[in-house]
Amino acid sequence: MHFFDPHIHMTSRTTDDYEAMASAGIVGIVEPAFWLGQPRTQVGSFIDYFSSLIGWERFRAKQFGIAHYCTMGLNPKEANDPRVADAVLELLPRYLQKDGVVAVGEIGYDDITPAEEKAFSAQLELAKNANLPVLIHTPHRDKKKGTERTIAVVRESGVPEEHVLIDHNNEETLPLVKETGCWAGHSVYPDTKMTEARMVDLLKRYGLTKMIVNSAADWGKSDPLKVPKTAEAMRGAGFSAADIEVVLFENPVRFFEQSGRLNRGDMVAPKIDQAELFEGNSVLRGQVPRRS
Amino acid sequence: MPRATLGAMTACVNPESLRQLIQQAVPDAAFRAFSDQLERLQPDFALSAFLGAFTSTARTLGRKPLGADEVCLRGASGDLPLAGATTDVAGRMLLLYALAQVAPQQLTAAVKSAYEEGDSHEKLAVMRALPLLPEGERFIEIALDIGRVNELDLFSSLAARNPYPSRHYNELAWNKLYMKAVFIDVPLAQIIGVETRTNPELARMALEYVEQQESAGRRFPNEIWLVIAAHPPKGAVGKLLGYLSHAVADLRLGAAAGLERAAEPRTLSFLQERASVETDERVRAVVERTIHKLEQQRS
Repeated sequence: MHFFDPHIHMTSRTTDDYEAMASAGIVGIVEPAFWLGQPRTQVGSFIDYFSSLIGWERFRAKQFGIAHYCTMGLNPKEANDPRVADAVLELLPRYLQKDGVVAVGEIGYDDITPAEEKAFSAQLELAKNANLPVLIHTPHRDKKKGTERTIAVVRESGVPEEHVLIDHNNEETLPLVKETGCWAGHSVYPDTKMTEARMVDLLKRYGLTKMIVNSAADWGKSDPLKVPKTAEAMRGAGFSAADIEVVLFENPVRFFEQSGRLNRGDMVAPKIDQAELFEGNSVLRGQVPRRS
Repeated sequence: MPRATLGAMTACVNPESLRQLIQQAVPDAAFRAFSDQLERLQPDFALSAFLGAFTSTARTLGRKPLGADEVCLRGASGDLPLAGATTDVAGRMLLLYALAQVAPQQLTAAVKSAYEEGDSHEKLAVMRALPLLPEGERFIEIALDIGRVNELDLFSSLAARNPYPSRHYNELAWNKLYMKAVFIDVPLAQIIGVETRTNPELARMALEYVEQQESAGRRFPNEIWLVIAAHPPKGAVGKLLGYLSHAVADLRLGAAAGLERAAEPRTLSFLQERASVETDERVRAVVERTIHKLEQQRS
C-alpha cells in the first residue's frame, strides 16, 4: 500500500517522522508554504524559507525515499502584516516558476480581513498566470462563512474550479464544497479538526470523488501518520484496497498533477542514499548510511 | 571499488557545440521550444525573462543523460568535461554562455540571480557554466559558496571535472576544497589541476588526514598519496614504504603510486626488494617503472 500526504509541514518535523512515514508507505508529500508559528518580520525570512522548500527539505525527504513537492504562497495570517505582505507578493512569481512547485498555497482566509482578501485575490491571479492549481486554507473561526466567501472569491477570479483544493473541511463546510467543482481536503488531527472515524463517515456519505485526506502535521500537536491511519480506519469500515488507493493516493496525485510538475516516476522505488549531504549537514549523526 | 576518472577525452570543442549535443539528446519538439527561448535572448532582454527561461529549462528539456561523456568544452577558465552531464544542465549552461555573447553587460547580474534564487539543480548548472564565461574570477563568491555546501551533487559540480577552482582559487581556498572533497568522498581522480596545485601545506593536511583515519581504523583514498608525495612531509616516505608491504594489494598500489611521485633515491632498495616478491601485477608494474626511473636518475 502506498500513500501520498498532500499537506504536511515537514520543516517542523524530525527524521524519526520521515522514517516512520516511509515505513508506513508514504511515498510522496506536498509541503505547503505556511507560517512558522511566529511572525516573520522581513521579506528575507521568506526568501530563505521558500529556498529551503525547494532545497534542503526536498533533499531531506529524498534521503528517506519520499518525493517532496511544495506549494508557494503568502499565508493569510501574514497577509495581515504590512512589514512583509507586499514584498512577498512581489517575490512569488519567481518562486512559482520552480520545478516541484505544484500549486499556489496555502492561501485564503484566517481572520477574514480586507488585507487577507487582497492577498487572496492577488494570488489567485498569480495562479492563473502560472497555470498552477491552488491550495486554499479555510479559517478555524467562523469557518462556514469563511468557506462560503472563499467559494465566491474563487468563482469571481475565473480560476477553474477543478484547479482548486479547499482544505480543512468538516461536516459543516463539506456540503458547500461538494456543490462546486473544487476538490475537498480534510486534515485528520489528534483532537481537533477531523478524526479518522469522522472521515470514514464523510467518505460513506459523500463518496470518493475529489475527496482528499491529509495530516496537516506541523509544529503543533499533530500526527504525520494520519494518512496511513485513515487507511486503517477505511479498511475497518469495509472500504476496499482500491477505494483506499483512490482517496489516499490517486486523488491528491491527480489534483497536483494538473501543475505538470509532479512526476509519478519519483514515487516508484525511489533511490535512497543517506550518504548524501546538504549544505554542510547530513541528516545522519554517526549512523551507517542506508543505501538502496 | 573502481572509481570513475576523467576518462579519455577527445579534443575540446567550442561551447556553441552544446546546441548540437542537446539537439541530439532530446525530442525535436523539446529542442524547438528550447531554441525559441535561445532566440529570444537579445541585447535588450529583460532579466526576469531570462531567469524564467533558465528556470523552466528542466521542464523543456527534461533531465536525461546528454550522452556526451567523451566531449569537453573549451572554456575561458579551462577545459570542461561533459562526462555525466544531463540535458537540463547543458541547456542552462548554453543559456548562460549565449547570454555572455549577446548581452555581456548583463551577465554578472543574471548569473548572480540565477544562482541566488536557484534551486539545487539551477545552482549546479550555474557552477558548471562558470568555466565557460569570460572573466571567470568575478564569480568566485559563487564558487566559494558552493564549496561550503555539502549536498554531494552540488559540491561535486565545483570540485569534480571542473577547471574553475584550480584556475581561480588561492592556495588556502584550493587546499580547503581538496580536503573537503576527500572528506565527503568525491572521487579524487576527478579533481582537475591537482598536479599543478600541490603544495607543502596541502601535503601536511593530507598526511594528517591519513593519520587520523588510521587511528580511527578507517580507509582513505589511494589518490591522496599523490598530493602527499609531491611535497612529502617528515615521515611520509617511511609511511609509504610501510604500506608498500601491506597485505592488501590496493593499499600497496596506492603506496607504489605515491613512491613513484616522490621519486626519492633512498627508496630504491626497498622498491627492488618489493619487486622480487610482489604478486599483484598492477603493483609490480608501478614499482618496476619507479625503479627504472630512479636508476636512470642515478646514472
